[in-house]
Amino acid sequence: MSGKKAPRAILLGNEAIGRGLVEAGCHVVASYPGTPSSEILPAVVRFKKMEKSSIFTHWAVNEKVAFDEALAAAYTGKRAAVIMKQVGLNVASDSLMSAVYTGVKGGFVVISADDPGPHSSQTEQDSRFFALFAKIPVFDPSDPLEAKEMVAEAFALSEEYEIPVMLRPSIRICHARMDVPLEPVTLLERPARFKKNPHRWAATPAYRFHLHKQLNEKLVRIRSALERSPGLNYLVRDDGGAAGTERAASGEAGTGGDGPKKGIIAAGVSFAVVKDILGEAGLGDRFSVLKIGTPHPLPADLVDAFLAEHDDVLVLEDPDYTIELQVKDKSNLHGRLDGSVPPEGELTPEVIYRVLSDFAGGIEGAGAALEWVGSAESAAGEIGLEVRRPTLCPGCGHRAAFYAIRKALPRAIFTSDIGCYTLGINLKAVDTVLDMGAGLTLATGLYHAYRQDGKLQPVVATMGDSTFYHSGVPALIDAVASDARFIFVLLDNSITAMTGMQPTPNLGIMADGEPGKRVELERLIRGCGIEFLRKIDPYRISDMKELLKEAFEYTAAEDGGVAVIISERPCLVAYRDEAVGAGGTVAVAEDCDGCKLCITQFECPALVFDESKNVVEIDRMLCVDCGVCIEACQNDSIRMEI
Amino acid sequence: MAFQMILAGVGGQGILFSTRLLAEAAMQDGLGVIGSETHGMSQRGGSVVSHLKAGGYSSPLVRAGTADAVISFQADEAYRNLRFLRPEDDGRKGGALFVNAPAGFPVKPVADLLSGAGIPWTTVDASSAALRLGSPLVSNLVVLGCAAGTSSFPFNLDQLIASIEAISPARFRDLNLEALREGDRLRREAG
Repeated sequence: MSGKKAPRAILLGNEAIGRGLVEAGCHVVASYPGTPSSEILPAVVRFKKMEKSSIFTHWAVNEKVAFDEALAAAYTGKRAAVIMKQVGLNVASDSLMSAVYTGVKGGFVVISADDPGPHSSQTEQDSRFFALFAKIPVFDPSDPLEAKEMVAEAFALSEEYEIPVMLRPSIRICHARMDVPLEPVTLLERPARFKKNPHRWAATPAYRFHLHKQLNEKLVRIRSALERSPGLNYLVRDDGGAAGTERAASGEAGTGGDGPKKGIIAAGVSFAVVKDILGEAGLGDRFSVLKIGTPHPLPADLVDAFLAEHDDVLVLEDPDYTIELQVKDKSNLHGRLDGSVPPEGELTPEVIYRVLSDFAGGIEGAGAALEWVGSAESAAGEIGLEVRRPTLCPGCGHRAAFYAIRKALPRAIFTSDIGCYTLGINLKAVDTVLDMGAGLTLATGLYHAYRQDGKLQPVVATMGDSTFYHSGVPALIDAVASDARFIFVLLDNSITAMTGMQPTPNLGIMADGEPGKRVELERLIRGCGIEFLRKIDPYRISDMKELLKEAFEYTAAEDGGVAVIISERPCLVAYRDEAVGAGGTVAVAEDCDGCKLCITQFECPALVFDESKNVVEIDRMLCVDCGVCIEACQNDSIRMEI
Repeated sequence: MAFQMILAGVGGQGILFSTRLLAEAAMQDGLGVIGSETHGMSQRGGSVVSHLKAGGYSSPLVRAGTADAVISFQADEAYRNLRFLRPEDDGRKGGALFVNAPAGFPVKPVADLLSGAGIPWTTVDASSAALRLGSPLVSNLVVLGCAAGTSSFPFNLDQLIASIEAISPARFRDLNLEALREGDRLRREAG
C-alpha cells in the first residue's frame, strides 16, 4: 500500500488517523473532543486544507449528536466518520446499538480511543467490548501507520457489508509519533442520495427482528473473510534476521511440528511491545506470535488452530479481555482471566516484560538490568522528590472562582464535572466528579435526598461552558422542573480548554474556522427556566463571594429556585493577550510571615516557598500578574506594584 | 543504527519540540522513527516524559533499563527517570544522562550508583545560559547542543542544525540555532 515515492512525515497517531480519513475520501467527519482522541479532527482540517478537499468537519455538541450527524451522511451513500474518546462512546451508545441494525450505504467508521491506565479518563473501559455488544467489526491497530492503513480497510469493509465499523486506537497509538508515508488522496464522487426504505431506516420492532437476523448473517460472513486476511490477522515468524520477525504466509495458523511450544496472541500496542521485547532479548525463536487486528469478529478458527499447536498460549491485549473472553476452550490460555496478566492498569513494556518472563520461566540475563532499575527507583525515592500533580494554570479564572466558592459557602457540597476544573479538587472545592453533566444532575439529586429529610443542604455545582452545552442543558431543565435548589457556577472560559482549545457553540465557529451560528449561553440558560442569572469576573473575589451569598439566599427563599452565576474569564492559554494585563506587578512584601496559606489554599504554581528565607516568592517565569492571590493572603503581604 | 531515548521535564520546557527535532534528525538519517508523548490533564504543570526510538522499533515506549540516553531539562525529573537508562553490560557502555542542572548534580549516592552502572552523565546549566541569550524558553536547545557531539549521542551538531532549519518556526529559528551552538560551546569549554 505504501508507494515508494510517497513523501514521509512524522505524524502523531491521531494525525495519521486524520490523514487516513482524508486519503480514504471521507466526506463528513464529526467529533466531540476528549483525550486521547482530540487531535484527529484538527488533523483532518489541516490535511483537507492542504489537499484542497471539501470534507465537512464539525465539532458537534456531544458524541451522540456527532454520531447521528455522521451516520445520516452514510445513509446517503457518503463516507463518514465519527470520533470520540471511549467514554464518549457511552454517550453515543444508544445510536450505535440501533445503527448497527439499520446499517449504512456509504462507509461509516466509528473511532473510539481507549485510555488504559487511565491517563486522562474516568474509566479504563474497553471499547472493543462495545463492538462485541453492538455486534460490529472492530480494528485494533498496533502503531500509527497501521491505524492509518486500517482507516481505508474499515471503510472498505463497512461498504462491502453495509455495516458501521469501529477503529479502536489506544492512547499509546493516539499519542505515538511515527514516520508515515503521505499517500495520494482518493476523491470519491458521492452525491447525497437518501433512498426511502422505512423497513430499514425507520423499522418497527417486527422488522427489527429481520434486521437483527441480517446483522447476524453479515457477521458470519465477515468472520469468515477475516479468517483469511493476512494483513490483519497473521502469524509472525522469526526469520533470524535483524528485523527478527516477518509475516507468515496468508491464513496460516500452524507453526509446523518443530515450532515453539509456547505461543502469544497479541493485539493493539501490546503486539508492538512484544515484538520489541522478543527482538531485544533474542527470544524470537522461543515463542510463536499470533497478531490479531480484528478482535471482533474474532477469527476463531485461526485462534483455535494456534491454541491446538501450542502447549501454552498467553494473550496480551489492552485494556480488558475482549479476545480472551471469546476463546471457547481456555484450558491452555493464559491472560487477565486466569491472573497471568494484571487485571487492571496499562500493559506497559515493564508489565509485559514481567508477564513474559513468568510465562517463559525466566529471561536469561535480565537480572542485572532489573536490579539496576530497582536501585535507580529507590535512589530517586530517597531524594524525596516532590510529586508534580497537575494543577490549574497561573491566572486561571477557575482557581479564583473555586477560592471564592469555598470561602463564601464552606458548608456546601461541591459537585463538579469533567474539564480542567476537575482540578478544583486540589482547592477542596470539588467533592464529586462522575461524568459529563453530573455536576448538575448530582446537585439536583443531593438536594432532593436532603430535602426529603426536611433539610436544606447547600450545594454548589460547577461546570464548564463546553460541558454545559454537551450534557448540562437537559440536567439544568430537570433541576428547574423538579424545583431543586442549588447554586450553579458556570465556569465560562470561552473555549474547550482541557482537550486543546476547541470552539463552543457560544462562539459560532466551525472546526475549520469557517463561520457557523452562535447559540448564546445566557439565552440558553434563561430558556431552561432560570430566573436568577448573574455574570461576574471571578478575579473580583470579594464581589463574587457576596454574589454567592446572595445566590444562596435565593435558593433558600420560598419562591426561589436554581441560581446561576456565570463566572466569566477567558482561558489564559487560548486568549493570553486579552485575558490578563490589569497593569502592575505582583510582589511579596518583606513582612511575609511564611504562613504558606496562599500556597496550600490557593495553589498557584507561581507562588513558591523559599525554605531558607521562610517566605513566599513569586516565580516571575510563571506569574501573569492577575493579582488574585492578593485576596488569598491573610496578612496583606502580597501587593500589586504599579 | 538504532537508539532509544527519554526526554523529560515539566510542562512548558519544550519537550515536545525537542522530541520532534530529534525525530526529524533520525528520519533524515534514514531511520524509522517511533515515540510517545504526554497530552491531556498531565500537561497542566505536571511531569512530562517523551519517548523516542529510531531504527527498527515497533512500540512507542522505552522500557525501563533500556534507554541509550535520558535527556532531562530539569534536575528532579532526571532523578525520576534514571530508571530508564541502560546499565553497562558485557563491556558495552551504559546509556548516557544529559541534564540541565546547576552545579551540585547529581547528589553523591546517585553519582555512585551511576558510576557503578557504567552510566556517564553530562550536566549543563542551560537555564542560566538561556537567560543570557534572552529567552528562558530555549534552555532545551542548550541541553541538546551540549549533548550533540558527545560520543554517546546519536547525532552531531550539524544534524541538529539541519533539523532546526527544517522544522523550527521562522521567527524562532535564529534564537534556536544560537542556543544550540551555545550548548555546544559550553560543553567544549567544560572540556
